[in-house]
Amino acid sequence: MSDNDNDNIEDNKKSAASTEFGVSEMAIIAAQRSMREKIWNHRMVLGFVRYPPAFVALIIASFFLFFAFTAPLIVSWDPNKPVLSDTLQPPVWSFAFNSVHSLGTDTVGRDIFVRILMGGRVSILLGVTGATGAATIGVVLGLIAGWKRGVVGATIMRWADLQIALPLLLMALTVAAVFGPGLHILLILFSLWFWGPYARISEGLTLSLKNREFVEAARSIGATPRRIVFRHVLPHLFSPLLVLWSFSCAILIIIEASLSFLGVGIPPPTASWGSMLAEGRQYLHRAYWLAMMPGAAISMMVWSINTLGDRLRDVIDQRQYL
Amino acid sequence: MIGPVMAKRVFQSAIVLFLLVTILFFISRMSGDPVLMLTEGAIEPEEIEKLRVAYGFDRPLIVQFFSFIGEIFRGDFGNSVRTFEPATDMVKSRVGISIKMVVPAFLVYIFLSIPIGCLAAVKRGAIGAFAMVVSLVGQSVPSFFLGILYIYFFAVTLRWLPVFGSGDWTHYVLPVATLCGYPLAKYTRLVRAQVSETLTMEFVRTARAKGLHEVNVIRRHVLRNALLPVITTMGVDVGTLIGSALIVEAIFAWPGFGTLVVEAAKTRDYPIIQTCGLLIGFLVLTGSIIADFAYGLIDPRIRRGE
Repeated sequence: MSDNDNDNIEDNKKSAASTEFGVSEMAIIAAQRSMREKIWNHRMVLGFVRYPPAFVALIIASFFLFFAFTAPLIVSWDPNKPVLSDTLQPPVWSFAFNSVHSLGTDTVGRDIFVRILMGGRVSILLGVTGATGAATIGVVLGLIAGWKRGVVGATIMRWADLQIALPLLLMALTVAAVFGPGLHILLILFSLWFWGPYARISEGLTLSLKNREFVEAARSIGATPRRIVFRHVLPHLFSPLLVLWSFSCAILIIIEASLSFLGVGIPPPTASWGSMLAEGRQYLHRAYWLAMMPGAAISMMVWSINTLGDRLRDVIDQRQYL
Repeated sequence: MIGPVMAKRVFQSAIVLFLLVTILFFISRMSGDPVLMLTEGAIEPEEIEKLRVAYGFDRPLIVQFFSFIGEIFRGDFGNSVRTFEPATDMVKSRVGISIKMVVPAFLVYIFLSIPIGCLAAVKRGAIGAFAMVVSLVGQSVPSFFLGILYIYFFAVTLRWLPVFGSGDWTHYVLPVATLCGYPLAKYTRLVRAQVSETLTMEFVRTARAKGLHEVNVIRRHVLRNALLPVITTMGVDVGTLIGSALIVEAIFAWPGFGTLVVEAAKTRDYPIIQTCGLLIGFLVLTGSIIADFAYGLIDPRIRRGE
C-alpha cells in the first residue's frame, strides 16, 4: 500500500506542477493532497520519536520483539533445565555477587532472565499471530457483511455478537476443559474467537463508504464487487484496523498470561510469563523476584503496546484535521 | 418508541444465546467419545457401552442436541462428571460468594472513575496529567500481577491486611481493590476523553453564558451527554468483569463462581463448564440490553427513535 501511495504522491506532484492544463481544480486538490501526505509522513515519524513515552515504548517493544525472534540463537542456557545447585539465587542488585543470573533463579535453579525472554517469545508470537489471524478473518467477514447486508450480513454479525457473549478468556477455559491445554489450540482459538471487533469495525465503515462517489465510479467502470471491496474500500479501513490490531496484540498477550496463570494455558515446562508468575506467587515471602520479574515483563510489554497504539491513533487522527 | 427497538434487541440476543448453546454442545462432542473422556479408558469395553446407553450417547448427534436443548428448558443442565451433583446447584451455591466481591468492586469503580475522570478533564495540567499517567499504567498491569503486588506490599511486607479466608471487611479490601484496578483505569480515561470532548460543544458555552455555575454546567449539561458512551461500554464490559473476577478469585483463593469454572476446566468437567458458559452468556447479553435501556432513559433522542 505504501508503494501505491508514493506513486500517487509522485503523480500528484507532476500534475500539480504542470501548467499545461492551467490551475485546474484537480491540480489544486492534488497539490493539497500531496502536501498533506508529506506532512503526515513527516509527523508519523516525528510523532513517535518526539513523544518521550512513545519512544521508550518503542525501545521496550523492540527489545522483546528482537529476543522473541532471536532468543534461541543467542541464549546458551537451557531455559527449562533444572540446576539444583543454583536454586533461588537473588537478582544481582541484592549484593550476592557470586551470582551470574542477572534476575535471579527460580525454585529449581533456572535462570529467570532467560525464562522471561523465552516466555516473551511464546507470548508475543502467540499475540501477534493470533491478532493477525483474527484480523484477517474479521476484516473479510466484516467487508462481506457490510457489502451484502441481508441474511448473510445478519448471520455474520450475530456470530460476532456471540464472541462478546462468551469472552475469549472464558471460551478458552471451555475449550481447555474439552481438549486440554496446548499452544496450537490457543492459537486456533485466538483467531476464531477474536475476530468480532474487526468485523464490527469493517462492517460499519463499509456501510458508510459504500454509497460514496468513488465506489460508484468504480462500479460504473465495471469493477466486480470483490474488486471494489478489496481494492477501493479496504484501503480506507487500514488506519483504524492498524490501531485495533495493536491493542488486540496486548489483549491476547494478557489473555495468554492469564490462562497460563490459571494453569490451563501453555503446558509446563515451557516458560510462560503467566505460569512463572503463578509459580512465584507461592514464594512471595522468601523470593519476591520469582513473581515480580515476569509480572514486570508483562506490564512493560503491555504498557508499550498500549502507548504505541494510543500514539498511533493520535498521529493518524491528526491527518483528519490537516 | 422504545418498545419495538427493545423487542428487536431481545430477539437478537435470544438468537445469540441459541448459537451459544449450539457451539457449547458441539465443542463438547468434538473431542471424540465423551464416555472415553470421562472414564479415561479405565474401565471394561462392555461397561463403556452400558454407560454410553445410560447417558444417551448412542443416539444420533442431532437427537442428542435437541434433547440437550429440551433439558435446558426444563432447567436440567446435567450433572457434574466429578461430584455427580446437579450442575445448577453447584453453580448457584458459588455465584452468591462471587457477588460479594463483584458488587462492591463495581460500585467502587463507578463512583471513583466518574469524578476522577471529570477532574482530569476540567483541571488540565499537573493533576490531569498525573491521573492519566496513573491510569495508563493501571491499564497495563494485568489483574493477576496487580493482585500479587498488593499481596506483596500490604500482606507480606507491611502485614496490614489478610490475604486469604473470610471474615470481617478487611478480607474484602485486597480482592476488591484488585478487581477494581483495570476498570477504574479504563473508565477514568474514557470519562476524561468524553468530558473533554463534550466541553468543546456549543451548548456548554451557552450554559456558561447564561451564568450557570461551573459545577452545574458539568453536572447537568456535560455529564449527561458525556456518560452515554460510558454506559454502553459498561454494558459490553460485563463479560470482561466476569473474566477478571475469575482471575482475582484464583489469586485470593476465593471459593466463588470463577474458581468453579477454573476447577471444571482443569478437571475437564464439561457439564459444569457448559452451564457456566451459558450463565455468562446470559449475564453478558442481559447487561448489554440493560445498558441499551438505560441509554434510552437518559437520552430522549434515542427514546423517540431519532
